[in-house]
Amino acid sequence: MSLRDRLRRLEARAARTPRAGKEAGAPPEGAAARGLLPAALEVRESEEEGVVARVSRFSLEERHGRFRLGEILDVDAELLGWAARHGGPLPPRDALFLDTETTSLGGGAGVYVFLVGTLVVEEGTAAVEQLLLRGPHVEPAFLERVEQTLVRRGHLVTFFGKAFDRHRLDDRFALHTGRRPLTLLPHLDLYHVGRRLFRAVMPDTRLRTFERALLGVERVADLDGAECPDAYFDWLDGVDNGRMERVFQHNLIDVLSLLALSVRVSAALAAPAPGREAAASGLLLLDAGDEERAVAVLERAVAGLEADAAGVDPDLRRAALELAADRQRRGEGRAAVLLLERLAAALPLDAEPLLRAARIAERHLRERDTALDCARRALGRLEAQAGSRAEEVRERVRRQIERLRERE
Amino acid sequence: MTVAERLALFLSDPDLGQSVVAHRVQARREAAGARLPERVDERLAQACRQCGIEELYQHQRRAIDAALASQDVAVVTGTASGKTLCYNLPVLDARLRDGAATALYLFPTKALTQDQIAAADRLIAALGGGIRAGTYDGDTPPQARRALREAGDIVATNPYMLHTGILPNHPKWVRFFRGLRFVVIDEMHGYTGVFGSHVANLMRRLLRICAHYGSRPVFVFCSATLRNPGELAQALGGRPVVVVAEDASPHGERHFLYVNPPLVNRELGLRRNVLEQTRRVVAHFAPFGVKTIVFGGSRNGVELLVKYLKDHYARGGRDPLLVRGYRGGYLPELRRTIERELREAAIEVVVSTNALELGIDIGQLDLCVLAGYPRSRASFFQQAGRAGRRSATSAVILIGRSDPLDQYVVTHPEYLLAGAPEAAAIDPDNLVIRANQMKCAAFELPFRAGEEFGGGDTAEVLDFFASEAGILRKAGDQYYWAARGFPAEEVSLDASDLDNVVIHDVESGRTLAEIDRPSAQLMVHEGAIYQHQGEQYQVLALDWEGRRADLKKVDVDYFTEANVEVDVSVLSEDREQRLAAATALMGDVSVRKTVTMFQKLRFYTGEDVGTGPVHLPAEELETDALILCLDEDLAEKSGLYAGGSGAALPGLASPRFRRPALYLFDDHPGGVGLVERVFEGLDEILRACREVVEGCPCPDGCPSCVGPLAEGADAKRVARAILRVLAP
Repeated sequence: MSLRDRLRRLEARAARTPRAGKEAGAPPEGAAARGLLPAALEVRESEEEGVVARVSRFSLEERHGRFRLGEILDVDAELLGWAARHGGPLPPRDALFLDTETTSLGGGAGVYVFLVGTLVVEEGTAAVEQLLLRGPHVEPAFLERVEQTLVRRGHLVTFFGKAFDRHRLDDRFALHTGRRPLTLLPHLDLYHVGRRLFRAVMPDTRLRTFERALLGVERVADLDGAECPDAYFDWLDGVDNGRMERVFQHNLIDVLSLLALSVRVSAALAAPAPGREAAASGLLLLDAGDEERAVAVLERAVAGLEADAAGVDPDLRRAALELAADRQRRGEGRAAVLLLERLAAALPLDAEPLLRAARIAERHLRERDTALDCARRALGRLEAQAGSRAEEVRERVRRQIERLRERE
Repeated sequence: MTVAERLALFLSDPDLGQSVVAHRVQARREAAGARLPERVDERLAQACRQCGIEELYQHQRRAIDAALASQDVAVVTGTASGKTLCYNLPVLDARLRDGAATALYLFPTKALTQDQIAAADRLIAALGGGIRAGTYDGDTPPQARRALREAGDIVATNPYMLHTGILPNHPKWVRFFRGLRFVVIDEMHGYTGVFGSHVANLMRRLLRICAHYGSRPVFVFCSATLRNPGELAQALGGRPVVVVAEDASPHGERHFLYVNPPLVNRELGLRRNVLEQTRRVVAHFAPFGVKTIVFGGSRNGVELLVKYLKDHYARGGRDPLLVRGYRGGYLPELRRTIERELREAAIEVVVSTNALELGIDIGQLDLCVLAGYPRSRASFFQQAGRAGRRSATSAVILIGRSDPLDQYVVTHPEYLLAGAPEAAAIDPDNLVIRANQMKCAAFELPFRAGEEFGGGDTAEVLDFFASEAGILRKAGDQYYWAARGFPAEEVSLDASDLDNVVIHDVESGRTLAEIDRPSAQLMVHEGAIYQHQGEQYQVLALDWEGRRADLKKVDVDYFTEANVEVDVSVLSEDREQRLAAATALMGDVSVRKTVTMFQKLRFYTGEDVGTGPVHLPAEELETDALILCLDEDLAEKSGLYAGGSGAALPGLASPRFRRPALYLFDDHPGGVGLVERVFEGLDEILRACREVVEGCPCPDGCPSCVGPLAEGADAKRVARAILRVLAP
């Protein structure tokens, strides 16, 4: 038996063991995604050492879903800084919107980044540059070219890039040069902030879902991200079945969506929809330390407190509690108690708002009757709860009631 | 009372002493010292003195000199001979001279890793700190992992983690690989067979990555005694090594006693049960201040002995907790506790499976009792090595079972003491192993055309992967990984299946232990009595899909044993070769192992007190097999037919081939190519068999040739007759 026959026998047996892996679907009729793409001013493609480079320029008046591309320039740099937990402003002009396609969705030394798509705003246009690796053997030249693009801007904007794109690219750089250049760049990962702001109103936190619900972008016949590696391997083998073109398009939609989602995120922070979105925004701003703006946003959040038929979500509850605390600190104890009463009405089982109201009424307003009333109602709610912690709280409330009654 | 005094009483005891069939004494050995090498950094020499290391043993000095001179070295000396220092010293010296120098320590198990890092840490502390040594394995939290990748000087890990975690992700370890000066492979004797062959390929992958980053690490191997340490080290590291094998550490006088339990039924040749004899022997020593380790053979044997010894302690009014069991399957925390208690001498007896054979630090003990011969000389010496003090007397007592192999060993003491341990064999160029490892290597870095990876047909394998399998792509003069997956995940280093069954105590709600899937079928089927630290738990339910067994503590007077049926069916006959009077076939077979029933056996007597059914799906594996079918003439002439003088086994004729047929299969899912090697070298193997049988001086068969006499008085004659025809 020749070596080749022996190897065939081995591979045949290995193939008998089923393995995970997706079958690539047949390409659908006509890539309808085109319809929703903004029209490019110009598309230039060039072949350089190791790289096929395609630059598409879009007028800032063009739209991606509900958003005009130029809106990114109106975004408050400080808000984006908060969103990235960066500790300083991130001016949108310095943003490098980045999305990569790789030969596998996992990691490791054998996973190549074969397409790097970036978007920058320059000379009054949105310029999307897509760099395609011409083959694994020319990777060093490809990376050199990628680095030229990276240094053009001050910070990264990605979706899930802190966990994925950044590491995949840095691994390639490390393998060839020992450096990890992307790690050093400030980085706004829209996945994390998007999750925080919109989780409560989304079925899941995938980019597709955000696109549909927040950006008004519906992908039609888009190539599944999982199919991209096969398309690339086919292209390397000289099999042109049009799929590589669809990978480019898929990647183009991704980077455009990064821009649009940045606009949407900053809108959520600057002028959120009342209710849950405002609650999440306000809390994010509060954590970031921008108290003034946070309070204004939290006001919007609690404006919708009673309207929420689905029940008060945890962010909104925390928003109301934080806001009440803020009012009390400013000496507006009465407003604080009123807000807590509203929260208590919206949450008929929750004792916390009444406990706080009782404390503020006793210590700050010095209104014995209000305090006693709140404390008694809180105790009533606590009676329904089990556990030693609840018992501890009950005991404290009983003492408070005792104390208040003595002052009668 | 000293060991020597207790030993004298033992030998004169009317029951126990009578059973001693041989007694050998190994004389005391004095230490042979040497100075620390001049070239060692003065700060390190100072730190050594601070740790109480004033001078070295000669073997340490030789090993350290070699390593300092960048020579690959293998240190092959006894337990507690100071092997750890042989690598810690050169590694720390290199690090003190060059802040970027790093070292990789490889240990076969997680437990050993923890132990050895502690030794390095003591020296580092004496150096005033500043050197980061840490363990990188499945238990390392993500934060600590990142710290080690980014700044670790000494990283200790195991082959599994190296295989799937470190090598395939080398771009995250660039600093570490650039600075890599030493690769330490401790417990080298554990790297044999399939596992060792994989580890040798791991080293090939490691060295390719080092070459990419411009480093060339030196290997330091440490091992227990082997017949061929230099050969094994060279096979693992791929380069010739300096072997340091003369142990210059001191030890006290050591007694080897061979015990054959008394006959209880002369007609049937039945002897007193080995566990009962072991219990009596241990009871003679342990409660009198003799720190004892007992190797109980199987897991069941260990648990029974723990129970018997605890009963004995309780009857004598002593604390049963002075007796502890130790085996795989106990949770790590319990094992660490027992190890610590042993070092601190808080327990008197530990009963273990071969889990304590490896170099886990439990201090030195006075007495080692082996309940049965552990089936290889290498294991025997490993286990015996657990007893031994620097200056005081120690003893090793081997107790024979009734079976023929044990009987041969205890009645031929020279067989063990004169012979060297078995040779450790690995085959890194085994096609299945190497081809799979080449996939992993190609994932890590492209192959250059003309690059070698072990054996000579690298180019052909690469071409196959590129042109037919479609997992590599040739571009320029290199082969690149061009597939999705993560090949290391699909290549298992040994047959161990990580798919464990959790053993759950329904009363405490706690996890008692974990057990690998194949053993679970035998030990935690419904109705089984599972023993843990000498206590009995009954299996109430086994959720096979959920990999969970629910147990409840019970008080019963029996234990259980499961019966397994093995069924081999031939799927394909792919290759055939004609021998003088037989046909050898190679093909795929399906092996089904079914647990059909279990027996209840009474404690102490082993009396059969009942049976129960087991309903579990068969474990099935597809693998390679070689089938040797004897021609009818030869079978006839040799007496290999029903009722013939050579028919020791009933139903010898295979139903498929209607002739006597010998099946050899790789007991590893998918096969690992062992069968193929046998098939290719069948002539040579048969000739070697003939030489062994004809060259053996025994008259009618022994464990060294055709097996013990119980195979039939005619076994040797028949085997010789067959081999003379097959290997003329």
